[in-house]
Amino acid sequence: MIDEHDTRLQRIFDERVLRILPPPRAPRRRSKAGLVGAAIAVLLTAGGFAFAADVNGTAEAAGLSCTDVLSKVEIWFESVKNGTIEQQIQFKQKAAELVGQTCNPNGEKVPFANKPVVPASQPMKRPPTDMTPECLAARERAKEMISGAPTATRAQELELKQRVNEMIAEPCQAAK
Amino acid sequence: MPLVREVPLDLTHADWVSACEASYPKVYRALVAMGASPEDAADALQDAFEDALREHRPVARPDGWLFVVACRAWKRDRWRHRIFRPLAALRGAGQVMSRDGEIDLLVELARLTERQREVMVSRYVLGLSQAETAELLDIAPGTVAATAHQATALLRERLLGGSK
Repeated sequence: MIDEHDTRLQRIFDERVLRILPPPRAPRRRSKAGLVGAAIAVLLTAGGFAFAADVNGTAEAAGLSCTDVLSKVEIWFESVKNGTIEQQIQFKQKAAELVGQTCNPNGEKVPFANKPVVPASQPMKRPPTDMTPECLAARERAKEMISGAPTATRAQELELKQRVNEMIAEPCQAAK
Repeated sequence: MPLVREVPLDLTHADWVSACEASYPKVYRALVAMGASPEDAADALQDAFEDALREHRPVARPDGWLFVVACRAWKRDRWRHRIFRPLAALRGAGQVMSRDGEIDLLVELARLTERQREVMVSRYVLGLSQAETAELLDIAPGTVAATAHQATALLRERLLGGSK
């Protein structure tokens, strides 16, 4: 193999190439586009993690930590729409209805039983079907006595309570 | 004549790094002759230096090794620029211009194919032999000889007016 080397060409190369002055070595330039891209990537990643944490947190607060991802996102969306505490209590109920299931304390899926909501101001009363007419009459009389009697002190109140209990004890005891 | 086996066995990492430092101007000029802008050449060479610091194999020609590694880094960057900034890359395509119509070596080198340019720069800027060039560029020595012959003829014709 002949190592062909042109000396005139070498001279031209030397003359031209020596005119190129190398700059001192410096750290690599970082382009603005690269920095912006990196910042966006970091923001998107952090945002993704924050969103996932928020979605999981909302589902957990609604007692539905065991549901699937799409349901969790739906619950999260509903919670964003419902701002106040009252709305959030309603939302919790609604979320369970929406998903059709709830989670037990062990984190397992349990079907949601659609029980009627009883407001705290109206306690559930036992239906008076098992009461005898004597018992009902005694209760009515006791009510009248309570409304008519003065209960200024604690002692008077206790005395009245005892009398009422005695009054209704006999007829109502017989019914049981 | 393998480049790797030529190295003396007592070459330390510090010797290797200082040999790379010493060949910086030559490799920078080679990259500019290849068509890289001064900024791109400096960046590509910086990348090659980072690789050189991690390199533990003994290499006979640090300048040739740096040139090949820096060329790869420069080509990678060029692709990234083409993908993300197509207009900027188009503007940069005609960057090598002669001054006032002067016949310029860099302009004539830019008219050669990339393989011809690599071979000519390795031979005439880095001063590598045909065998060293073949090993560095990972091509057959016969291909280097043929490519160098064609490119030399073209440059002779364009720069020296075809005189032998």
